[in-house]
Amino acid sequence: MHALSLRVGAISYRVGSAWPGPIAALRHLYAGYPAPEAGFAEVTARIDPPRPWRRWIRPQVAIGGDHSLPDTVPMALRHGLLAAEMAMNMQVALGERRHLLLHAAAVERGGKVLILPGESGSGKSTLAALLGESGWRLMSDEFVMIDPADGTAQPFPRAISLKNGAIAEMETHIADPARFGPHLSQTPKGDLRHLRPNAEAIARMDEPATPALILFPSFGFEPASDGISRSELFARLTEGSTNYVALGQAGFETMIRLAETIPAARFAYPDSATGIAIVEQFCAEVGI
Amino acid sequence: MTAQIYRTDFPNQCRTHAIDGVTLIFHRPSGMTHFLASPIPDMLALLGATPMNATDLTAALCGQLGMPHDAEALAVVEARLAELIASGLVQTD
Amino acid sequence: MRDENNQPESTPPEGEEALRTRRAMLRIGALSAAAVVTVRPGIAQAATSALTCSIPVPQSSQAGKWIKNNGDVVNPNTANSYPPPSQPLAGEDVKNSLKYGTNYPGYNANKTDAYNDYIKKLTMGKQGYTCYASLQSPSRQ
Repeated sequence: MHALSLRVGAISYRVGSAWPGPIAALRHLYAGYPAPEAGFAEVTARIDPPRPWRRWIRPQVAIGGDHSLPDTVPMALRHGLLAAEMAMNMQVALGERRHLLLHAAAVERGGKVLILPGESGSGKSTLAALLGESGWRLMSDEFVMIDPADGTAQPFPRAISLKNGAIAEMETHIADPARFGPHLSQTPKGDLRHLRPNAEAIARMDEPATPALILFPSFGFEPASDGISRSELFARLTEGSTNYVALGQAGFETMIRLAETIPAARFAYPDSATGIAIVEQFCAEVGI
Repeated sequence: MTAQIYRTDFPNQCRTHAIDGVTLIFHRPSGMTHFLASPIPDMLALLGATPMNATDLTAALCGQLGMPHDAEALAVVEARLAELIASGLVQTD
Repeated sequence: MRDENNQPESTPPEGEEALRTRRAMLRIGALSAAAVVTVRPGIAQAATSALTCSIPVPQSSQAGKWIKNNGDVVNPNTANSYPPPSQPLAGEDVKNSLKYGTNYPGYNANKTDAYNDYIKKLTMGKQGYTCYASLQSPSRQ
């Protein structure tokens, strides 16, 4: 049994595996992250062989932990780091109850948070990674955690998932090769490489901030943008929230507050530079 | 089926919020959230005050809106009642 | 219970436009769109939605009745029947009882079986049906 304990914002993990390789890769990716408070990890994530012989014969990795979904497909051992990241995501997606989860990236500047919701391929991770290297603090790549008590966003700076073309793009922007995980080819999500957030994001992982703007990106189209009404914003944010229903009325109230108070828009962009320019234009309009 | 009585726990077990001309409702017993368009909120308010059958509900609704109480309105009310039952917001005896 | 002679609730004064729109909602043409749209978050959501719902046994309109061992709602003290649970049954407890055979907290096996037979007979329109249905969705298994 091989394991790593670490804390990312409000989540303390213990990640375990029958194999040493994925754990070693995870330890390298999360170098510099704090240990759980008082050494106590609340969330268990595991990557293990789905059948005993899969530990050695055409090795396969199944994701698991405190919570599990019955339909997750096993992956090859060489993609073990991706499986570990997916297991860590799944535990938060299914188990988090203290904060409302949005499926989004987030970056902070001047105490205000820009939230970028979107599915894989929308470009949210690449935009967040680029903004995180140019004056913004990365708060999260996959989940934005909203505190029901006051509507603030809590940081959750896990490694950023870069896919396909975004990998080369970020490699040119980031001088330190140690911040990148291994290049994983032909994963179920395409070619993938993980990027560790910079030192500032890690150092400030306990500083919440106030959501101020929500922008839904669509990568790969001619530049265009459109406002989003409050009812549509409510529908889109709940659609991407894995724990909205589990939070009951608190989830309802928190989501209403977000939809009623945060301006939102969607925009399409053909390349990163244009996307960043559009983002900065919106930010100027709302005073971020 | 117009003799069937419809009842609801609205507004007692609900939290509502008006947004963009529709009503968002959180229904505590089911834990579900729904968007409600007109005339659903009016129907729920009337049934919440007095359980009644589709015919009487249509009469009350048309009265509120100053409309003639006709077969078309009844057909709409019955279709909306079916939606309300499927969502768990209204029950039949 | 409200006084049967009450006037319908008075509606706030509204513009002609709004009134015309609300009247149009009672015309057949409005039926092309659903008026109740349930918020259904993504896949993983199905795995957690049962946790916050509960099933009253029996319906609140049947208060005072007992539950027979086959799930029927009967008068108190009927043969082979039991008093109902004092609180609605939590969705999570119902899931565990149906899947693993656990008893409801504070109730023995006979009562648990009777309550479960009642739950399995719930039909669309009855209180607790949507909760029971969410426990049945494939991702729960």
